Amino acid sequence: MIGILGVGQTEFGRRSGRSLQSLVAEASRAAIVDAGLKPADIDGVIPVGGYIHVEDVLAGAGLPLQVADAMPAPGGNAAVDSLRIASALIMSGQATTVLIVLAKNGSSANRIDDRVKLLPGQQFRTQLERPQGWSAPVEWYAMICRRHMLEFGTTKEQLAEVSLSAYSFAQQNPRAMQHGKALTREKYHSSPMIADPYQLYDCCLETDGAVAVVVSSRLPAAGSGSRRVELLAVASGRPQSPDELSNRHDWYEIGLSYAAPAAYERASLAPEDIDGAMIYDCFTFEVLHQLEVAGFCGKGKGGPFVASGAIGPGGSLPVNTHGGLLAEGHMTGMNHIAEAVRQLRGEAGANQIDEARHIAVTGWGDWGDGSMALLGGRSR
Amino acid sequence: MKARLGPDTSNPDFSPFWEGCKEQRLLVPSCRHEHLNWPPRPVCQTCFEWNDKWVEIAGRGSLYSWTVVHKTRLQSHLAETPYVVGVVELRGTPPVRMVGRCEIDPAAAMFGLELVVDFHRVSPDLTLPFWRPANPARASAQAPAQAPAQATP
Repeated sequence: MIGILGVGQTEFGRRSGRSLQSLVAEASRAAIVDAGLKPADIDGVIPVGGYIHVEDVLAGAGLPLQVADAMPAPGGNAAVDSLRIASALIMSGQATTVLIVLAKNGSSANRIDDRVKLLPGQQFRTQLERPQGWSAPVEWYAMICRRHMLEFGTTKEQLAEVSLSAYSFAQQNPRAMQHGKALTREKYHSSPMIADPYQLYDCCLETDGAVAVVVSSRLPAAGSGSRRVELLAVASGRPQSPDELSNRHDWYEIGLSYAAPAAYERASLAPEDIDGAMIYDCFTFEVLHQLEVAGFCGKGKGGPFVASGAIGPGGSLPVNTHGGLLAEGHMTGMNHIAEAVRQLRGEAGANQIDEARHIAVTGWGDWGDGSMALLGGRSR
Repeated sequence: MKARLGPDTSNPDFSPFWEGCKEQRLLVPSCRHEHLNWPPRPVCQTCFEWNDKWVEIAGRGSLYSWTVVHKTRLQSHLAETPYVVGVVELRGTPPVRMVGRCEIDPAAAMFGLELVVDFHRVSPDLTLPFWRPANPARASAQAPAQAPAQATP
């Protein structure tokens, strides 16, 4: 069995004034210490996000040089997909203990405009989309959201619930960038329009920081104090027309449509068995969309599901109890994995889910590639 | 509409499309089984034969979805915000959906709105397609967004 032995992170904020190498070193060292390990125990490295290289991690964390390594594609699916790649390295015998780390100065140096130039299908962006004024993720996904509103009656009130819920969790999480910045319904609705129907508070933050995770086949050393969380299953998928959206036959069929059933099957779990979910929340509607596809509610029912209070504090499926990309910080979903680990260790503070046994984590990238990881607590 | 930073119209996978626009025609790639392909790809996405010709498609379609862009980092489009970008579904086998600027009142955008293509000559090398309401009277009415009829097969 493979599990997560340790997590580490830096402060999340704007304009860190730090180098990526410094952020990498801090988060990596923290994760290795949290795992109860030494740098020499790491024999695999996965740098996430597209801004850092294996060598930055080796140098920063003082790791052995002869490690197995791999780099996932840099989009929003990378964090959960890196768990899949780490499992593959371990199961194939190339590594026993893999350090996954993401670092970025997302609010200052590594902004979204630069990253979209690395996406697949650049010829469609430059030839057909940008000349028509369609150039950013917020504009692409607004198109899917609008279609869902038309087809299923999803409302702005329901989208507001996603953001309000994230902000209310963030008020109880001192690490969150929006801690101390409560959101009201009025503030949500009166915020600037970005790409209709998305307003400011439908959009994720931009963040400087780093998060690292240690994945291993090892059990914690006796007396190390490490609390291992089990990686029960992880799967990834991508949609038809994987490098552009407009000509996908079914706009709701995404990578997660393939990944979620595969993950549930491998873990012998069903959506009803999940106690909380960390859903990749680049924008509010993407949470509704993935809740439907992951089987937490029926197709087209994401709006009523979130409006029922299910995803908020005390709900039947608390979602993004750290505040998510919307209110904790945009660590490309690595912070979702860190929060799932805290929940399963019982270390989530005021946002702790009672008796959390199984947590689902999803990834959503670029044109809809997706992943699901199912994590479970060790019997205590 | 103002001139803007244009695509490289000499890209061989797209140049027949841009040549067609200069003649006010919409051309799309097709394979020997007459499957239409959009956006242009070397290989047919229905049968995986080579797309070896370009065929004309009628410049008429219906609005499949849209967004109104209020903030953009495209210098070329800054002065035009807010503007409507739509996905327009054209009849064909399989149907073709094109992303394009829609010269419609955002309040009148509605699912299934009938649109016709028009062309804007930006430079001698570049003519851009855009979309206008097929029936301007209907498009300016304050029509509520409607539940969609069955649009795709």
